[in-house]
Amino acid sequence: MHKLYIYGCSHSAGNLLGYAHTENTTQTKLGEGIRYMPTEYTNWLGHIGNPFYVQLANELGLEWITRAEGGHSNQQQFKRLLNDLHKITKDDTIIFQFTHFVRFEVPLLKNGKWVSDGWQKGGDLVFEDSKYQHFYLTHLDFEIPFIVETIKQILTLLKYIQTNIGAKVYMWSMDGISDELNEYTKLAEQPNLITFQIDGETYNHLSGVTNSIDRNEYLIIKHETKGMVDDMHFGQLGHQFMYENILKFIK
Amino acid sequence: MNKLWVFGCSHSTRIFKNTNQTEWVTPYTEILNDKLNTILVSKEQSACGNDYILQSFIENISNFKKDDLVIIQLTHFSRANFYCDIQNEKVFGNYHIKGGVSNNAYTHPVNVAYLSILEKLFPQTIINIFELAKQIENVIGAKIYIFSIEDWNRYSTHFYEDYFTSKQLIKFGDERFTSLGEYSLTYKLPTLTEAGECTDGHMSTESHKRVAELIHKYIIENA
Repeated sequence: MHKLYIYGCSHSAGNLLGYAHTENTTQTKLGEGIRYMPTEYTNWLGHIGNPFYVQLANELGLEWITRAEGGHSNQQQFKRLLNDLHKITKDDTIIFQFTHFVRFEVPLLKNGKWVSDGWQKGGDLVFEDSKYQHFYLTHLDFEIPFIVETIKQILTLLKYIQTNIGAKVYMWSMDGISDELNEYTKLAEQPNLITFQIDGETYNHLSGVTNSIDRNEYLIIKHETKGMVDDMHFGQLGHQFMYENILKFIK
Repeated sequence: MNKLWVFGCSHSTRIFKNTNQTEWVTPYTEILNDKLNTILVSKEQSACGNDYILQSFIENISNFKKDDLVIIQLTHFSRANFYCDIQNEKVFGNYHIKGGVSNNAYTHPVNVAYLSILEKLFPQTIINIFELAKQIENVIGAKIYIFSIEDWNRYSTHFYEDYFTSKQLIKFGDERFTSLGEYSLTYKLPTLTEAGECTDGHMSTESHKRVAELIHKYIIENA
């Protein structure tokens, strides 16, 4: 069966809907490397959620492979795509979601090996020591060059996959694409950048479809649950919206 | 005819021995190209950092063909890329922790703070280069060879041990040194200054010949 590869952060992974990268074998297996992990939101729903990619895979007759992971940065997802390159075939479909551009990769030593974590301003510090604080602050100073370099690497790899391997490649952005970022990367001008349509408006980034207060706020868990679950990710209604938009764009 | 792609810094380029640039040292890349009977595609860039090398490697991924040879010469770990404005054009520049800003036209504020975090940044670049090389061999069938001019032990590079056994990492000499720097500690590779050719810290004509022989031997043995 041909595959639908999903790259991105928690907004793609559907973690709040109960889909998690976990090695806990007592949990129900949902897909390759993914098991059910109950959340406050799935408790509220009373059942496991239905992420956009599961619906999309069913509609397109593909097997979904969730490579997206909560908290990941674009750089981490680039590496994951890189490592999957040999598995991707011309009949597969890839949807790459750009996460918050200001989230970047923090390398750290764990049990004698370099691993990495995603971090963005306001997030928890992996390491509190002065050297790492320096690292974080300097990254903030050089945000644009770091972001540009990562986006360019991802776009080049995606273009390679589309042109040379022949897989279908689509991308979407969580955050708005600033003029400055677009000047360097042309991300907003990519023909396969998925757009989202709502209320007669078209947005080239998902966060644009709601102001999280009084415009399409029902897409967000906090509002869908009437405040019962304090979380700003897209919920079941949000994923249904994403599915319909992405399917329409692809078709 | 297969191509020989080369990514790296000035250690892989022609170094001119006179100011009017009429005499130069034939780099190991050109000698190797003759030995292998390939078409040389030079993608090296003087003074660049490893992140530039990675970027350039990725940008050319669509151009590699089965049975092409690709040599990636890793440069000083202490170099990094910076964006800068030169005549109102945004370009990549490089900065060397031990040297100056590579281009005096820099208007980008070179933040000294950045240098203290280089050590934490470069492992990811090196991992990406190795992983991409592995993928290109698997997917395209081009042969990729990587070598480092610097001794890996210069920094806390124990994490690279996973890659030391990779065939893609060129080992030098019978001792199978994992970097050219380490080889040179035992078997001195004279600089141009030391060889009396001109005043320059890059490898001499003789050193380039020896490097070409060493790499050629490794490629043939590991084909």
